[in-house]
Amino acid sequence: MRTTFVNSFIQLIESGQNVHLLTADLGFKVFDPIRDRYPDRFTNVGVAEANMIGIAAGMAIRGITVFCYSIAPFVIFRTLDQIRADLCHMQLPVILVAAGGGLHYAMEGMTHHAIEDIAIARALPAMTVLAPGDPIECEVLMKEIINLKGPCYLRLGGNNNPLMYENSQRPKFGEISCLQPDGDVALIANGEMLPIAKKAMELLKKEEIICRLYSLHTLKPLDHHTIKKIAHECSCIVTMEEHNLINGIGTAIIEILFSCSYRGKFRKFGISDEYAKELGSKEWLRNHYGLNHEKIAFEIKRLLDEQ
Amino acid sequence: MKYEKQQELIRLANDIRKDILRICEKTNTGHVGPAFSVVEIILVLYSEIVRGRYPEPDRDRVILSKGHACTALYSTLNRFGMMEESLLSTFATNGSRLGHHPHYEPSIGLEANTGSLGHGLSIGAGLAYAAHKQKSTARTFVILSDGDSNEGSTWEAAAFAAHHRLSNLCIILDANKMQALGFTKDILWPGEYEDRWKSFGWNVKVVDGHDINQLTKSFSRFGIDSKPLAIIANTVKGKGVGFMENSLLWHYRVPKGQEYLDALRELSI
Repeated sequence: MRTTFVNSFIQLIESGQNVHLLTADLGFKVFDPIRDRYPDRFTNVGVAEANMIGIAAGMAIRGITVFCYSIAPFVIFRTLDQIRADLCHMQLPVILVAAGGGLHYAMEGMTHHAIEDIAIARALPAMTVLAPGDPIECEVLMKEIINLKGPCYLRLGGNNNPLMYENSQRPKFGEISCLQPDGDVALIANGEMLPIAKKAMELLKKEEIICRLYSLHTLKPLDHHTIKKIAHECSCIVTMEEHNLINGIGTAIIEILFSCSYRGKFRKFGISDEYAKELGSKEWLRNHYGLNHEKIAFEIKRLLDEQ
Repeated sequence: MKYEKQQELIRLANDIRKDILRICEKTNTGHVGPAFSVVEIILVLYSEIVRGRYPEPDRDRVILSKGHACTALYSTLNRFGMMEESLLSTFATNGSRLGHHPHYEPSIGLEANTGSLGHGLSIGAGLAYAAHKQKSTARTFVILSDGDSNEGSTWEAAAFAAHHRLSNLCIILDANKMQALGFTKDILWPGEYEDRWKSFGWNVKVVDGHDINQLTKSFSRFGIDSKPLAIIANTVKGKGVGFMENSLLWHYRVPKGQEYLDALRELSI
């Protein structure tokens, strides 16, 4: 996804957009294509994230759309005061590019995990929040980002993310994408949970449980219309996120389900309000939190069996 | 600067202090002491230094990083025709756009949100960096406080500005040596400001921050080489009213009743 981001950024430059990329000294080798071809559009501000946001605000006042890159926790937690005062309230076009949101930097330890970022980003007035689940979503959303009037939090996973879109189907900014439209059970996921949701769907299919699959790449503004449609058409709704269960996409969706008097089953999968104590690979940590497709499929089956 | 001009600005500084007293007394709110220490700095900027006006994109911009002293800025903007009297008089009342810290509204001269210390210089450095890249003549002036000097992000921005040779960026440090809970030297000793800014790679000028002539002259070296400029303006918190000077009480307190009349009288001489 980071490679897609870099290619999309280069496309923005080449289509004449007034864009600039700041990094707080992270992204080893990732930005070489930008730095080599367009050195004027790239600045490493050093390990000074709070300053990076202020610099971006100043540049944005002068008409530049600025992308601020670091890994997720450094780009949103360390900088939050600058983000709310200098970007959100001033409604400046600055995009926070958060690499490895969730548990991507698993073995690096909790300092490098971001399991509260979506909750915080969504709570910021004027902030658009995006979490693409595959390179196609990343590419499409990058084209829309440039039209935003205010700041945006772009949560990226790692690299080598599988493609989730078949044929000519393409995601649309602000709309939940339906990747599999049949069935009475709706699986809603985003980011790196999207391929896991797809695997869970395939596993359940073997047991003749047909599930729909939705990608929630635009977290704010939230597509109320599609969620209400799902509530109307499905009897079981499940959300999956690599995020704290508190105030993630599950919480956001259940608020809408409540407002439209949904009476069906609901379950959210995520991280149960705890930081990692023991470390392991990304897969190990996901297993630890019950975020693998087998466990999720098992739990969904159990949920469906409940009277 | 001619003697007559100097006298005119001294009178104007007094009038601004009276404006500050008036609008703060009316609502019994605001930071009078910190506003009084920065009056001449803001006045000299708008009277002698700043070029261009909103909506010119290449105008110079002033960012008051010590946002709590905003009444001095509001009054100056009003006296220089950038902010209507009718708006100024709404200061700190229900429904007003003018609170105790400035909200971004460039059309009335408020070039950034400030109030959370340590933000102003980063934004200013971003403006200067962009102007530099855009080959614009626009310059940026950031007014800092002792409190700002506690904040780590101020020094991140100071390093950035020197590294990128932002000769179009100037800070004026309103060094009244006090902050919210006491004297800066007792809270977080900054060393010598002059040494600190020099060591960060800035040109440094130390002046009396209430001397109109000295302040004006201190900008003469601005932009002459590849370094940003730091003007360390030694000031007095509460300057202009004897009983308010160098007193922590007047960081927060607004003069009332007889105090108000005494303060006005002192400023009318």
